[in-house]
Amino acid sequence: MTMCNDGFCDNRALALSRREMLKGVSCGFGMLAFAGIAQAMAARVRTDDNPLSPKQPHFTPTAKRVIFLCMAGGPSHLDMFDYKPKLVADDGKNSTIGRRRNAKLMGSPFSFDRHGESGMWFSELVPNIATHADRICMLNGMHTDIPAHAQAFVQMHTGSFQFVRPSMGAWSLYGLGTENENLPGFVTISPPGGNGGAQNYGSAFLPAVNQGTRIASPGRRQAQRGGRGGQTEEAIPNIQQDRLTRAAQREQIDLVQKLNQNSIRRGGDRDEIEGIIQSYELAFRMQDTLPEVLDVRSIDGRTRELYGLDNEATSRFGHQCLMARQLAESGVRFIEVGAGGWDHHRNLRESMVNSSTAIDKPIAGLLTDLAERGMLDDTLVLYGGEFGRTPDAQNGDGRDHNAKGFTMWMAGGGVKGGLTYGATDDYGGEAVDGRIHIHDWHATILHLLGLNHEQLTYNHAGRDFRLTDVHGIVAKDILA
Amino acid sequence: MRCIWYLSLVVGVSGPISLAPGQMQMGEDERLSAQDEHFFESRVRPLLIEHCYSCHAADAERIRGGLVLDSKEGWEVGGISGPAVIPGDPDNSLLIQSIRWTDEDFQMPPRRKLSDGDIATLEEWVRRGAPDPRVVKALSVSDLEAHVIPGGGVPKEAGADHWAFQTIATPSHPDVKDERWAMNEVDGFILATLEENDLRPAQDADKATLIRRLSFDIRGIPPTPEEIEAFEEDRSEDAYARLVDAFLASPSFGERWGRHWLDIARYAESSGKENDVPYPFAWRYRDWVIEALNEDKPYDDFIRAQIAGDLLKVRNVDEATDHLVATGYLAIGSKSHQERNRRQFALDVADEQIDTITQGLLGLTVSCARCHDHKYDPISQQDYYQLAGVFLSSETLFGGNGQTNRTMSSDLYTLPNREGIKLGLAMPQPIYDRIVEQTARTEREVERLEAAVQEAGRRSDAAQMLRNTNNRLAPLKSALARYDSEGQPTESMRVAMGMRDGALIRDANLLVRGELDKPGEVVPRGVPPIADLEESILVKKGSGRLDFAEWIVSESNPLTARVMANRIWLHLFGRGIVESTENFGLEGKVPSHPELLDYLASKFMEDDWSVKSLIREIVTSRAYQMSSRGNSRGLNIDPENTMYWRMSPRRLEAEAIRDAILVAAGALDTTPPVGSPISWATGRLVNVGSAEEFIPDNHRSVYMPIVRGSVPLFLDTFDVADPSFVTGDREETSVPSQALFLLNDDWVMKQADSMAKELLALRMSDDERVELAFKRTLGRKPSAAERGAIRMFFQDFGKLDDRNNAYQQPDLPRQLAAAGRNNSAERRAMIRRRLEARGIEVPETLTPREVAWSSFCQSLFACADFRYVQ
Repeated sequence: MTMCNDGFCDNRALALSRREMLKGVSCGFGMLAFAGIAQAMAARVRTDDNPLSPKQPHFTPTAKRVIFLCMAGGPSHLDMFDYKPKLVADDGKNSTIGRRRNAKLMGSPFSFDRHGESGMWFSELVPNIATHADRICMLNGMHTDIPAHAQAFVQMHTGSFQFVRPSMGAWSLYGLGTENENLPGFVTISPPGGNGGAQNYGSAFLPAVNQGTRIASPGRRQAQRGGRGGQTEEAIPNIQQDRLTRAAQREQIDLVQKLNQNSIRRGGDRDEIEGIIQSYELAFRMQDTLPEVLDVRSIDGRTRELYGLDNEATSRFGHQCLMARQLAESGVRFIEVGAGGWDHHRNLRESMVNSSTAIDKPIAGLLTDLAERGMLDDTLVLYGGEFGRTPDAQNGDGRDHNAKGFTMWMAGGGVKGGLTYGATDDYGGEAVDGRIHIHDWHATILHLLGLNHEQLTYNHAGRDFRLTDVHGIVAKDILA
Repeated sequence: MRCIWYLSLVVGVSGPISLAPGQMQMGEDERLSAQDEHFFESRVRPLLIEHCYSCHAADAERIRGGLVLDSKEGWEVGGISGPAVIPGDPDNSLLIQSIRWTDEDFQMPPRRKLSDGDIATLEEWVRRGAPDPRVVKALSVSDLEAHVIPGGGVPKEAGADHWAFQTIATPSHPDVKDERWAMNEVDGFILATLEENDLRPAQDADKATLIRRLSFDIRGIPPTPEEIEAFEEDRSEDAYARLVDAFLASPSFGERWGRHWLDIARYAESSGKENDVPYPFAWRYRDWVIEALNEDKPYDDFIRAQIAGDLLKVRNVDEATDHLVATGYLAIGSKSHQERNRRQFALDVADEQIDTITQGLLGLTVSCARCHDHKYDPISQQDYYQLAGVFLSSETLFGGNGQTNRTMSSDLYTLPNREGIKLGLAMPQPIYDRIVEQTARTEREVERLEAAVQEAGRRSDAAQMLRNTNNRLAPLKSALARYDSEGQPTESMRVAMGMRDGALIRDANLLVRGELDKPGEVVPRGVPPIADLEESILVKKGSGRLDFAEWIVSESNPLTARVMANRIWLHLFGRGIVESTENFGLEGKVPSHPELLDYLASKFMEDDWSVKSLIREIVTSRAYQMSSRGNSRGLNIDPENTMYWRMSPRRLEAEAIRDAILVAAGALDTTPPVGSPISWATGRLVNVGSAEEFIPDNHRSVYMPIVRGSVPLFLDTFDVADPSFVTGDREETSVPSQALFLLNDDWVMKQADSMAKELLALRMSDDERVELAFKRTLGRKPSAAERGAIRMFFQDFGKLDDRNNAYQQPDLPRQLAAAGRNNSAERRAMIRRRLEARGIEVPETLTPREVAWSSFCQSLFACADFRYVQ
């Protein structure tokens, strides 16, 4: 990635050395780790062999890292964030819009209120998130292309529903590198299996080091090996073993490293073998670092309360949000946390309460925790699902998919808190004002990270690719 | 005349809509009579708009059943159940069947039956031949301009001088000073460049290094200690040549080079994308590729069979079968089975096929021209849609594994009952029982729901749940149908994926920006004027796949032989002569040795496209036999070794690393397995947490099941090709997850255990054991320094063990634990037998000596030399 001014910029210089770069992960990485040092790098050039070492952004960023709270299934904006009094007034009437002419409109059964100094609207489903009104930038004019889960979900992550493309996390890592030499730079916690699966955190044609590392949420994979207790040891495959003690394993690695050194002396390729040597050292450290970073057992009572860890309804997502904060604090660049079950085609009155309860306290806890640690200023928190839902009813009190208008929100990382931006029509069916397409959303996220979405390109199969393809407009109005 | 076998091998299309190819060929100047047009406009169109469009129009909120009725093409192509209307035949037209409401499960419009008059009108319309003026209207020139992406295309002349589009000519023998060095023609080209740059070729590699290199390169597995010794001792002049021939004749050759091809063919056994629908019969194509390489099937025949095997003349049933299986190449690509719009689905499949063929065989990125003219190469959007017409006129048989409703599925080829056509892998009893149980449970659920629907009606929640439950049931039943109660595969598995000419042969519209609802002009299908072609090759009959295949493999095609020769070189030297192996276009890399490439390409064609001959030619060169040792002059002038002044050290591929571990452990099963465990799959594979449970035994890694969304962890960790892309040159990473895998994975440790036990069972000294371990893993003896490091390891490990701080084992029964850790293996074994005789379960444990030796063996798997060939 190099600076350029024509949109189709040139990364050939980089591509030339990509092979070499990939071979030498982690050389000299330790000395460059952590913030501040990145700024010391005078020019945006490769100064060491690690493809993930911190890189200079295109311009000064307001966000250094991202936590994406991904709501799979399409949560109803109309029942949580986008207040539509006219829809409530016309409840039960026939829809007069387009092809849905004969469908019955359904006002939200949940009451809405204004919160914070900004007077931002929230429904009774998210009372805890509402306390952060003045930190949140509410985007009510979101829209996307396809009202089908899989396509919309993949497009939200990669920009394309037709082709296999790198996910936005991989693009962020590719553009900025990462800040902790002991941890992967892009982590996704308990991603859903469906809806494109690994594509949503894949690196596609970007170098494989940019792909997301999947971490299981607590409790999910415990059964597989059993015995060792602890909640995070199976978070990534083979992070621990049952047999050798650390001391014995160190002996084993020492032997491996001596054989490797010997291989260099015998005339083997220094760069490549040093890459392997480094990978063993990082692996050895990760065995301890990752479980340490993710250790939820040592969390104090207040934090447990903050994230709702002891309440059955909020425990699962609370743990994930806490892991996200721990990873963010440890220098991971992009973290995705997922909650599913938002596909309320029926029985919305009841199910929405359950789904919202599961996320409300944990998300509020995360925002509080980040703010208290002084991290919210440079951590961009994203909330949203692949689309929203229709104003008209389905199966009694359900709602259908709606790609034409829905809500996402951002907080921290240089967005305007307390701003409600964009709007849907009176019934909440279609975005009419302050429209932000998923491509625009991507462009804005990259912008906040200090990356120009038109310049962040990668040459593959004969052309330069971007997260935003040929689209994307940065939503300048929401920048603080 | 097309071969007679064709028809007998095709599965009947579901429903009554089987049409011979060509029957629906569209005439260019087909015009409606004024009467027909009036009939349609005044009576049919209003009916469709009022009653059908809300669910069956391109701009409907949700297109139901994939069917659109707002264009003629819409009902011709039809929805998930196939074409909706058969002109002239109302009784067999799905549209008419549905509006009659005779079938309870298939009633349209769903809420209210049409009046008898309306039904009669539509019947009359179909009887008249379904006259429909709503043919796709091409956008006008001004419309087009409004939509065109600025920037424009590359004029054809731009390619006139491009090296890769020039005819392949046999280059003349280059002059070199050191004629004694060159062993064959290849060496002349290499040496000439070196001499020009004042570089000397490296020394010859020693024999142990050479046999390890050759063995991995040709067979994908290491040489045995016996093979190494025999070769080292063989002083005869043709010792190396005989070794090359023996390796090329080994069945391992096909498993090694077949895998290289499967990277180009983006081989996988599932659809990838959102649902990852299993392809239980994809393995037939995999086996075909391996066999074709072992037989040394000429590359031109190899390609013809894969693109147009169904259209080739054949001599007998076996050959016909072989050709059909080969067309699986085009059917195994990644697909979005959830796509609701059948036309969009067809376009995407065709695009994937065009992309795979042009990148894989021609080194061109033709698919870039789907939405706009190619940005760098003289390939226009018209060119793209000429090819799109070819593939849209073909039908891809990919199956669907019983997926119903809302997912795309297709027929499969039924293969004849001939010897040698295997049915597939037997299903283990526990899996079979589990599926039987699941099926029974789901069937009970269906019964319960059916009763509930009787009461609550077809619009109720219960009805929705019934549909969902039925959708779950279908793949279960489909999996069960493949096996008998013993878990043995049934006749229903005598099927294959593949390609045939479609029922609808037609030219495609250019789509502005690649968008379905912006059709432009119709372009005649055929081979577009790309590369050296000055004029399109237009298709006279059928889809045109055969014409396309014949152009690809014609000796005048400047790309095909070059692209393949370059791939073969890459696998033997670690770098392509053209480094951008999938892009020989204007933006691709230029060849480092253009004359060498042309020599190899023309030799390839001269030798009847024999892959084995070309490999033999390259590996018998002196250049291939050079040492990988660097020297300061070479490293200074050409650090990347682009001039081949030495052999580049190369990292082994994931499969080779895994196979080498199995070999070292004495555990590799060299017999090819039958079929694939993916045939056991019962539904979407996205829910498969990991592919590991599908991995059978210890066969060569090429036989591991490849699920697009869940590639086996070992392969994934060591940079296997992403099965959604054509991959000529895999990535090589050194990341911590690889280190973690080799340090901590149970499977790796198990192999180390079995290697350690084997070594310890031999009657020899520990020094001899270390030496044998080195030969089995690194193909050489340990150096003095290495012996020292290993001695120190055993010492330090022993010290830790003395302090009881080396390792943990599973909890043992009290009696065995009391026997003491340091008792002899024999004594512990005796106690173990006694306990087991008393029905006490004893977990597998190792003696302290076994743990130390296992850890040592594992270090060998983990060290750099193990995964590199020098």
